[in-house]
Amino acid sequence: MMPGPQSDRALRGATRLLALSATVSLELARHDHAHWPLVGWGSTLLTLGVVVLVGSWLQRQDPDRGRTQGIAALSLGMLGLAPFVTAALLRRWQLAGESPEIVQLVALRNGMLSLAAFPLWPGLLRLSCVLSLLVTLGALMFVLSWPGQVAVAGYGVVGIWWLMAANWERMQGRFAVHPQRKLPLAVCASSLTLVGVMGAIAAVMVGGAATTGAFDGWFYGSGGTRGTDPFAARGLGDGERLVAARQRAASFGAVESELFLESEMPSLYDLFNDLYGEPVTKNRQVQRAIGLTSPPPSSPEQRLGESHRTGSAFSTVRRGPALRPPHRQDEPDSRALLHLTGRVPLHLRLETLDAFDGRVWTRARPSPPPSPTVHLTIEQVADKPWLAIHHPTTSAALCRPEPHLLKILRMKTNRIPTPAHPVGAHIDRVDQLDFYGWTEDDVLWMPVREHLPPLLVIHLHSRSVDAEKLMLAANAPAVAGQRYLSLPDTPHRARIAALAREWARAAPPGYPQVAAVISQLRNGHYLLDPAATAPTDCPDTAAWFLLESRRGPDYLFATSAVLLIRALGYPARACTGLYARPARYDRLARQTPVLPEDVHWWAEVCLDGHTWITVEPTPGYEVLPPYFTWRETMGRVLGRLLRWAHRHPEMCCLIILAGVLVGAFRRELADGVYTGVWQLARFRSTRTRVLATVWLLEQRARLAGHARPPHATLIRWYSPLARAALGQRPLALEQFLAEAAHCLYAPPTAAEQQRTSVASDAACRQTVRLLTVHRLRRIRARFTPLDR
Amino acid sequence: MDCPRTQPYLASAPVAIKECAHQPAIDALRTALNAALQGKAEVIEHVLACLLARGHLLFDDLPGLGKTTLAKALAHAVGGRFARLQCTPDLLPTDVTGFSIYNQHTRQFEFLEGPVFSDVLLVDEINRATPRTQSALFEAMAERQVTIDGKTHPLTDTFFVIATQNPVDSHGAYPLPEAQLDRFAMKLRIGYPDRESELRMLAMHVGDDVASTRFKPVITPEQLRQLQQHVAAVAVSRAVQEYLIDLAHATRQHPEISLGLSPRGLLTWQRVAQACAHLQGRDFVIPDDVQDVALPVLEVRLVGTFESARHLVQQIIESVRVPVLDVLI
Repeated sequence: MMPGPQSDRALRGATRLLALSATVSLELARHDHAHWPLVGWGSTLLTLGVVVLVGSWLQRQDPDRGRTQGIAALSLGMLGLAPFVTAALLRRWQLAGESPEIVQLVALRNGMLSLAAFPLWPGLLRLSCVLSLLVTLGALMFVLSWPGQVAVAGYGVVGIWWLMAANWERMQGRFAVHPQRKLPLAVCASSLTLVGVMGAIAAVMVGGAATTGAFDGWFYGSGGTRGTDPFAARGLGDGERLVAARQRAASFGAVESELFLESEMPSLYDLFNDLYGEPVTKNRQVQRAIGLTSPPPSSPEQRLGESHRTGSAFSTVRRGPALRPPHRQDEPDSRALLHLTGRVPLHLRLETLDAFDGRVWTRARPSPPPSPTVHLTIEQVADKPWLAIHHPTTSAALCRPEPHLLKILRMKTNRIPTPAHPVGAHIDRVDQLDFYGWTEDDVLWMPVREHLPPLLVIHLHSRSVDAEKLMLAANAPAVAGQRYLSLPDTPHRARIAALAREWARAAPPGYPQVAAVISQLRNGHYLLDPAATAPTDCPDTAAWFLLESRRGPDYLFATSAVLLIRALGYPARACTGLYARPARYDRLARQTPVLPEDVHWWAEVCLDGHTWITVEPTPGYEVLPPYFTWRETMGRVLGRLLRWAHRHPEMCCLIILAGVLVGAFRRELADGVYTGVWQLARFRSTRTRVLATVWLLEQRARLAGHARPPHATLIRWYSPLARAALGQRPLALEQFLAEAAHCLYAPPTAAEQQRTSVASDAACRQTVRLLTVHRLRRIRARFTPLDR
Repeated sequence: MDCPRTQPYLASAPVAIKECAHQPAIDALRTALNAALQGKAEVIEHVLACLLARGHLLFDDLPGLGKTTLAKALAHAVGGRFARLQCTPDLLPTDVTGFSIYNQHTRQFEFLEGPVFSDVLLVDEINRATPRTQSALFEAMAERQVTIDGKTHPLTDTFFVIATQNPVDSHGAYPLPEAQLDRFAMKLRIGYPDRESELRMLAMHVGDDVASTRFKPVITPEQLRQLQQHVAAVAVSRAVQEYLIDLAHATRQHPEISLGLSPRGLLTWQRVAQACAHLQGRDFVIPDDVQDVALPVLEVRLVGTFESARHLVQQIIESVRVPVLDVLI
């Protein structure tokens, strides 16, 4: 249904209004980013003037002449190329520049304005509307302040009005645009598009500037590409190298703030003191209290030895955190120790400790030479030097490697905080193998330095653990060393062991028992309370925590977990480091800051002799879920389905059989349902019965593939259809159609008086009996009724 | 039919609906007309519908197909007076309406009635009359009265005009303007008969003098008037009326039609659909009736750049939904 000349004019006016509002949105978005806003506004006004002049001149010409079309095409091309030329010239002369996305958007805007101003064909108006949509989406990407958001919302309103004006007759529902099509596709497509645009606008309004990050990548120059551009508005952290940008402290430019003052760099043990309080030292323990500064290294071996002695003891008897004035909450970034990009929650291991004497965790000296150790090499991957960490064997429960990115800001340490199973690490330009080392407590470190260089960026690849596979795996005998099985010699040792055995009673041996113990700690009435520290004279803090107080900080949870697991006979150790919380995830910068209060203690257990699995006994903290690609997830779901099918073969056969039957007889089943509904109408009035029969007939014709077109009347369609199906026109059908016409179109007062119910019932029943789906489907050819 | 002083078109007419009291009369009429024009049952049905709807009929067809025969048969079957007007360019309006003449014996002006004071008027080659004469005739058709010298003379209630025009010979013709064409209810084409009918026709006229064929009246004008009142009372449900309005909108917005259906045309369509329903023995109109009479009713009043009216009307019908079960919503 093509619009007449009046609605054509209305459409043109509406399209121009749409184009103007898109232009306004783009200009306000440009204004937020422009160095010299006047240049932008001036060029826009100039473009508008040119477009209006050319458009009014072209409208007076004959649209079918080749010359007019040529001039229109030429102006369109020139207006489209003008922004690129201008941008190139401005950059050449070192004046203000704009990011490539904005230049592309301006070119699109020029195209949209020209098409709206001189549409030689009606189709160009619609193309102009599509371009206005793209321009507004682009403006959404860049808009920062409220005038721009209001302009974009205004565009949405104008868009709704435009759609309603363009589709008014269709919306009234009277006309079938094409008798064969059931859905008006144009209306559906435009409604969906409008819903999408409104959703995007609403998301930006509600979610703030963070949602605009989703639009990255639509245009050249948005980041994540290998190109660089001095005027880029985006591309932070995703390009070849992390480059400095102006607006975020997460970048690594030289800025003046307290962030980077040397004296503020804490070591891990400084963080312990801040969070858990000073350790309570007994006189006897003074000698074992190690100073927190690392002594100057003299030789590599000595350095290694000393770094073992320094900072490798943790007392579980502490004062508890002192009250301190709260930090400024508005800038967590300024206190962050590091920023993590990648999946969270993540446990970043910094140290492991294995010997507990009831009060203090220490790292025992290594005894016999360790079993095949981890082996490090440097490999070149895409021209970058990557450290490959080769473990002697890889457990089947580990998933494929996933990437993480660490940006270390304020940690004074030479250990690299890594996830539990790293397989590769990369620091830019570091390609010497002796920069890296692997301690025997399974931490990656840099032996040649006292602490990591400031503002270091480390790329890590690590594997996560699939707990389901762990549950099914068999465990090898413990070869990890006796030190991981030793329990402290305290009076309550037996009680702890009994508790462990009781908790793990119902579980099969292996990881299920460990999981049972951990779940008891997490769910079984133990509260995380950082202030409930053990009393200063307590001989066995774990027993005090498990049996008496049932509340405590996270290191007591970890301690208890290790002791319980060791009591069951599995090697376990306490592990400390940083915990990246999902709650701190920053959507705009797409990273998680790790703050000083994210220092954490947890446990690790070794079931197959070489792989240490992270277990988290503290409630409120989670282990990273396993990493699966889409294909693997689907494969797992399929595997689960197949296993279920294998366990219940008869159900499976039944379901398949039912599916096949339903598929083969779907029409008959649907017909049965409809006929059942029709039977229900038998208890109602004659009129209802007749109308129900009409409905059933329509459904049957639809199921048989001969649905009545909307413009055909009942008699015109079903009489010839019945004759084609049955070979002759049954009298019952004629009677029924007459009844139906009466019920549908006769005035209601005459209906009840004049029709006898018996005759009409008989006609209805006979029609339903004769015109079955099966008979109607026998009409093979595409059915068209004879023309009168 | 389109006179504003006639009865309302709705079902609330004062006449009670009698089921098929006049059906024999209709059947007799039908038989008589079919005897006059062999093999054109559909055309006869449309003619009857036009007659019962109090509309006027326009035949637009080639010469010699039986238009005059049909008109004469109809006039005789209805009874009453039959008049015939052969239009030429020198026909005057007074030749149509009548004029006053001075009678010397009575010394008064007396009015001599023209052909419009008959019951059935056959106007041959109406497109040959001058526009002045055409407008006199149209005025009589519309008002059902003529005013001569200040005096109003009413025409009969069942005044029925059958006009013919020849699409081929257009030299010296004054084509009817669109606004006036709207006064006709229908435009029909007879077309060539099929082979069987032509054989029968030839056989019938062997040994017969054509001029002596006369048809007997089968229905009185009074009966016809009652029938017309009966037809006006046929029920039209709201759904069917909305269907008619949708079709009218479709004609007004079709790109090839420059002048769509007017409200007067819509009223005509409804009335003719009522007549069609009555002819099929129903006292309510169904959408089939509307579709059946669509082509004759629309062909006379749609103006545009289309080539085939049949194709166009088919398009319009196919673009509008028929109300079926959604009647109940």
